This record gives sequence, C-alpha cells and structure tokens, in this order.
Amino acid sequence: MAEKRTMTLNLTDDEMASLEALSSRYDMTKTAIIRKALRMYQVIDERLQRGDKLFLEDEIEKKKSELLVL
Amino acid sequence: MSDNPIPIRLYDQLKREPVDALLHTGLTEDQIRTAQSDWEPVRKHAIEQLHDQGASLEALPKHWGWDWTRKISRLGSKVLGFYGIECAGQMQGMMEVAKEGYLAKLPAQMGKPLIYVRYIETAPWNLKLLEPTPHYGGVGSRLILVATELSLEEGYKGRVGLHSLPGRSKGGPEWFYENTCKMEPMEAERDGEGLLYFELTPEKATEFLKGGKS
Repeated sequence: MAEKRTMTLNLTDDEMASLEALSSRYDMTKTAIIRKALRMYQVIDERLQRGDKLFLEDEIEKKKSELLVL
Repeated sequence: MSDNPIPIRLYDQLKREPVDALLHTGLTEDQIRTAQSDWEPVRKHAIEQLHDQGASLEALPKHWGWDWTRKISRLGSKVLGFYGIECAGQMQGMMEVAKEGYLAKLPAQMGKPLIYVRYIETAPWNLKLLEPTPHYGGVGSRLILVATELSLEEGYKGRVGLHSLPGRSKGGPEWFYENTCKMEPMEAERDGEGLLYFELTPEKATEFLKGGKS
C-alpha cells in the first residue's frame, strides 16, 4: 500500500453537500471520492494534453457535446 | 514500473511445505515477456499431450491462447493495475485489474464502484488440468485476495467483479470463484463470449479475507 499524507481541505457548504451526496450514492468515504476524482482528472488531463477531446453523448438524442476541462 | 515486492508464502505441493514467494504490485515489460516465454512452451506441450490422450476441445483450458505481451502497452496506466506472484525465480501467476469504469451489478450493491479483474492466470505447471501434480497451490486465490485488498484500499469496500472462464465442476474456474472466493454468480450478466459474471460483496469479501489469511 502506498504511503499517504494528510492535508486539510476547506469546502463551502455546497461543495461539502456535493461530496456527501457522492459519498452516500457510491458507498465510499469522502476521502476515497476525492482520490478517485483526482485520478480521473489526471487521466482526462493527460488525454487533453495530447490533443484529445472529451465528449458527453446523449444516446437517445444522438447528440454529442464537448466537455471543457480546465 | 515494478513496486517493491512484498514477501508472501505459497504452498509447494511437491515438497508439501510452505515456501517463500514475492508479490509484485506492478509488473515490468521484462517480467511479462519472461513469464510469457516461460509459460508458453509448457502450456503448448501440455495441451498437445492432452490432445494426444484424447481430451476433447471443451476439456482444454480456454485461456491457453492468452498472450500477456499484448498487455504491455497498458503498463503505467493510472486506472489499471498489474500484479504477479514470483517463486523460485519464475512468475507463478499474473493478474490485470481495472480500478475505474466498472460498477456493481448485484441488486444489493447495484451502481457501486468495484475492482474488475480483466485477466488472471496461473502458470501452466500450477494448473491441475494441465499438470496432474500442480507445483504451487493457492496462486489464484492469493491473486483474488490482492484484488479484494485493493478494493478496500480504493474505498470500494471489498467489491470485486469478473467474468470467469467456463468450468463448473470441482476445481474448475467457476467453481473456484463461487466456493473458494465466495463470489456470487449472475447468469443475466454473461458477457459477449458467454462467460459467467461473478461479484464479491463487502460481507463476502470479509469472509474471504478471513479464510485467505487463516
């Protein structure tokens, strides 16, 4: 298991509510949600840096929309 | 990049005693190429022998054609993990898992994230179907134990999913996942090749981990 370091995270009420909702929906701790989000951010960022684009697709409407990631 | 290997124990069924082994929590290109070249001729020879002895095609292991070197391009992925168990200087089993992109299908845990085992294989000399006296025991269950521990580390509470190769009879892959690993089969979730889906719940993961470490 990789060594872990501790940090303090300051969130607004809305941000905390979002984190708690995700934690509840996926039955994961808030820490696990943050770590998962960071990993997905890294994966997406790597692809964007290579020039790839990220799309969301509505299968029913057959519509694709490009998602901007900062 | 291979992490520092973790010392574990395997059971040497020829010497009838536990032996030292190493769990690699990351594999290198060299390790995969060496394992493939170690396994392939043994597997090919054993299958030819079985065929010569009149074994039907259905009785032969379905993963004999897996080429692990085709997975080398995926090494280093942040969402995949490669694991291997080494003993006596040779790889005794390897596994590739996905940490993202798979959700649980059992009604009790539908939509919750899990570790999905994409490929798992033991060396041909540890496979009872190919070798009447398998050399090292417990390689497959140790690798599923690794997937379960990874699931806990990722915050997935021990949830693990996989599609099994066929084999319902005692000692076969489906029998192994259901009885040894405590995974639940789901007929409705067979994949495109007809492989049966198995899933581990947090409760059964605890049971499996207790059994695996005792």
